[in-house]
Amino acid sequence: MKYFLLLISLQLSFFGLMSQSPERPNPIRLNQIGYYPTSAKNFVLADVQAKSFTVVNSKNKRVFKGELIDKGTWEPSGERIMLGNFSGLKKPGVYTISIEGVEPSYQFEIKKGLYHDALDASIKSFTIIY
Amino acid sequence: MGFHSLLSHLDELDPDYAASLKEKHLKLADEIMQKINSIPYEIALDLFEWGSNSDVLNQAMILAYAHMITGEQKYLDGVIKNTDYVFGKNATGYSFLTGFGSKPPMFPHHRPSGADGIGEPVPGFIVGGPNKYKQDRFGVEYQFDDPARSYEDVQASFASNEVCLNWNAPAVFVLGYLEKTH
Repeated sequence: MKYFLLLISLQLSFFGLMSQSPERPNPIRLNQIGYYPTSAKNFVLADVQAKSFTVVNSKNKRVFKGELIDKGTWEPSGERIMLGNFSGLKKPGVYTISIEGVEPSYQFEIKKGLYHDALDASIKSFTIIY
Repeated sequence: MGFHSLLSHLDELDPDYAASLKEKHLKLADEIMQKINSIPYEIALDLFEWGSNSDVLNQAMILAYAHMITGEQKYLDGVIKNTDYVFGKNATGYSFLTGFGSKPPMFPHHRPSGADGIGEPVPGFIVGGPNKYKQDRFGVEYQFDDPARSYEDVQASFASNEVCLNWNAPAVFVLGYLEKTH
């Protein structure tokens, strides 16, 4: 049975490589670093139709619910775009965005000092050969 | 850059010149804001060329100056929205700073990163981003034709995955400004 499953999965990956279908990124497009407690908090849902979303904390508890706004098709990407806003959520923590029928978003943080490390690294890059 | 330096020292300039400089800068910032409000991804860019991420970051820098001289929240929101784009709220799903985000570039067009025997690239580089002209298309297979998705995370892609000093410069400015104001 084990070998059978292995064979199936090898075949699947083989066909996956053969078909060359474009790799679909997670349809929930957000700032993967996160958001400041006091800043505007927006994200995009691409090519999926949904009415609402929730933000879930690290204890799997829903802490925010919001409506999605249909922005229509954006020609440069060919995607149908919906926009979500959760600026009302200000409490620092680790969260994900959850939408019915869609894989959960990447985890992101709400915190002060959000870009401290990114800023450090972007400055440090000037000391490295480009 | 010269104008940006002058904007940081408005009270030391001839008052008429300072007023006209401020007015022109805010006109430019307002045009950017208008475009941000009209584009679904909330950026002010619909032409994706070589180094498009730096266009987004440069516009964020213009908005940061507008916020600095007026204190108006809308400009700071604009800076945040442009920065969201760079870190993943975009049509590719990538966070465009190496080493940062859940889906960062792994194979920038950066020889030291490719040659150092370490899986991850050197952190802290902004990569070029979507470029509809795909000048490297003979060596790079693009998955999408759409301008805003014309990005490939492969080392050969000098047209979409290159790193550059003048692309990192506005990133440093913008991230520094956000850390200072938040």
